[in-house]
This record gives sequence, structure tokens and C-alpha cells, in this order.
Amino acid sequence: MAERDVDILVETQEAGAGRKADGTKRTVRATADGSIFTAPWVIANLFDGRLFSVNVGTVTSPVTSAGAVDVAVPDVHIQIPRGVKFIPLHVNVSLDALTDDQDLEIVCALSNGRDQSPTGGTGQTVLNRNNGHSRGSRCIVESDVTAITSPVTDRDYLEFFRVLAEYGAAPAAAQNEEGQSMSFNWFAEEQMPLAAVGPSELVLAVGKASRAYFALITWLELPS
Amino acid sequence: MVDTAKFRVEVREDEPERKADGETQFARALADGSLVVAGWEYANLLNGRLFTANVGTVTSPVTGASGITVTVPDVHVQVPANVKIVPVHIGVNLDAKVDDRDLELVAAISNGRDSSPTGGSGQTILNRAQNHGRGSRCIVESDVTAITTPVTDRDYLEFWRVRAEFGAAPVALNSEEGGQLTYNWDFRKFAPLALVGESELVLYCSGIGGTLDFFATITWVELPA
Repeated sequence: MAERDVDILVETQEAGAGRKADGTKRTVRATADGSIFTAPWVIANLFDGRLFSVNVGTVTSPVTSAGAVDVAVPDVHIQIPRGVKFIPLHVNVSLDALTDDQDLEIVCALSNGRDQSPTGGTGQTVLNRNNGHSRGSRCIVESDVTAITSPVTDRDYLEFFRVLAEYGAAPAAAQNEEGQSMSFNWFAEEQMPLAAVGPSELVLAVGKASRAYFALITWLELPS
Repeated sequence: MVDTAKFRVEVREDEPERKADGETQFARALADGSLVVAGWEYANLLNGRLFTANVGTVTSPVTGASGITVTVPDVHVQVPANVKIVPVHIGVNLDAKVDDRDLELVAAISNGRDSSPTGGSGQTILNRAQNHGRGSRCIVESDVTAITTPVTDRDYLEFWRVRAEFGAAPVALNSEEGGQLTYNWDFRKFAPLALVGESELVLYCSGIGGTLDFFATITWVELPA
């Protein structure tokens, strides 16, 4: 076995990086001091049309959750088919209003099973986050699902996002209740990524009581 | 027989020589061999492709609408044909709390563009590399009074939502607690998205129960589509 040294030569291209077509060979771009420019992996996947989002509730029309957390009755259910690897990047839940003495429990989980025929459910549109790219998602998203096979029993069930809050009286003028944000976020960048390989499913439940909410779920979808 | 290679870099921790565009050089490394890299944001900054619009400056905020109406955005960004933008940061600062006046903040994109919104105050777009001659091709307006709805017959994606109930505004000698009035979205945490023109970005900074004054800063990378 022969071993040799290879010097990494780069080309300074601070102000004038030419743009090349796919398939073109080119030198590595660098700053004037020779530091190599890099692009985040998610940006590469964005340009490749592999980042998707779904809104559950938009503008001023929230969705109403079922009530107490029951993972067999998910407020949002995502089916991940065979041949797909699904990496959640961001989950947001925004409550539409606070109600006196109504507490909050949000749970989001993955399991390595997939119920392909959930009962009830309202289909939700999955959008490519690169709105000039034609690639579609292979996942199926439904809200207001009334029953799925439990993702807990006989499966690998992983809760990756949980929020609990006790609220007391809702804030009102001339009273002392504290105001607060009602938007809750999970970020892969902060709370560590995870991957579901289809057939799998994601469930999101918003409790502890029935409440109006908006949700946004964003993921990276790759062949598995 | 398999040939193998050891990649070599050049240690240049202190005062590295600076080369002009087009010149070839060794990749830069620290004394311990760590490769020195610069992020995608810096690549686009130095190439004059990073832009920002301020909506409200110094002590002059802009007043948002009372309640969200999707056709009445508080900030409207038009992305023309042959342009692709990747928002990288949005900051919204409320100027003050008002008793019992709540917040609903929504940012969304759609793959349609209303190129002739009604009303609206033009906002200056600045290159974040302030000595770079490249200008943005986008158009930013605040206080728009009407656009064609970005929801119907388009791909409408809400990518940021903040909701808050504030109750009584904090005052001395009362027991409400003060809080920060600053909200930020950034592409690293919330995941990036791309608008390929013709497209538009809308920002609603809505008060519930009345209006709220705000400052906004929107920053994006602008590329050829």
C-alpha cells in the first residue's frame, strides 16, 4: 500500500464566487486567509428539496385538541412510509388562548410502528420549504385523529418533546397574573436530532384539557 | 494495492497572509492541525449577498394591525422572478406593553407575489457588507393596507408563530413581573426555507385587543434562482 501526502489547495474567492452548474468540478472556495467556506447540511438539503413543513391551523383558525394526553388519540399523526428516513428539525405548538386554571401538557413522540389506517383524522398539506422545488413528501399528516394502534405497546416509543405548565388564572388587565408566551418549541439543533426510519410514525398530543392550538412541524426527508 | 493519502494543511494561526480572489493557497489550519472554516453566512456576506431591512429605527417604531388579517401584512417582502432568498433571521421587538393587550406574531411565505400592494411605506434594504455595491432586487414595505390573499390557490406556509397573553403591563408598586419584549427567529434553530421568485414573505405583528408598536429586522441571503 502506497501512502502519499496531499496538500489541500484552496482558491480565495471572497468577493466573487462564480456559480457553477451541477456536475461541474471546481476548486474549494476560501477566504483571503485560506479558511475553507462551509455550508450547513440543512441548507444543502433545502436546495435539494428535502425539507418539508406542515401547518396545523393557520392565520386565525386554530385546531382544537382532544383533551388529556392519550398517545392512541394523537392530535397530530404523521405516517412515515417504508423507504423513508425522517429527521424532525423543529416542532412548534402555539396555544390560541389561556383559560382559567387550565394547565398544559404537550407530548411529541416517535415509534417504529405505523398505523396506516387511523380512525378519523383531517388530512393536512405538507409543503416543500423550498417553494421553487417540485419534490413532494411521501409522509401523510393528519390532525384530529380519533384512534390509532397504541405506539407504546410492543414498539420502540421515544418521547422527544414534553412541556408541562400550570397556569392558574388567565392574565387580565388590572390584575396581578403574569403574562407569558404561549409558544413552545423543540429544536433538533438544541435538543439533539433523532431519526425515524419507515414504517414509523410521529404523534403529537396537546393536553391537559381540550384547547385551541396551532402546530408547525418541520423535517428532513431522505431515502432510507 | 490501495493508495492512501494524508491531507496536509498549513499552520497559519497568527497573521495569515491574505490572498486576492483567484489566487491558490494552502488551506489554513491552527497549530494543532484543526482546519479553519468559515460559515455559509460569511461566504454570502463577503460576496455581498446578505441583506437586511429595518422596519422602525431609533425611537420610531411602526404600529401593527389589531388582529391578523392575512391580506393586511404589517411587513411585506416581494421576491421577484429569477431571485431566490433564504431568510436567516427575523427579530421583532415590541416597543411597549399595554394593559391586557396580547400578541400574535406570524411570519409566512407563499409562492405567489402581489407586486402592487395597496398602501405601504417603502423600507430601505441594506447590504450587510456595507462597502459592497450589490443591491437587493426585493421590495420591502410596511403598513400595507391590502394584498391579494397569500393563502388561496397558493402554497402558504407559516414558518414562525408567537402567541403571548400579557395581562396588566408591569408598573412600579404593583406585582406584575416585567418581561423581555424581544422575539427572534433564525434559520439554524427553526430550519431554513427558500423563496423562489415570484414569491412573497408576510409578517404580522398583531395586537389582540388593540394595536402594538414594534420594530422589526429581517435578514436574508439573496441568490440567483
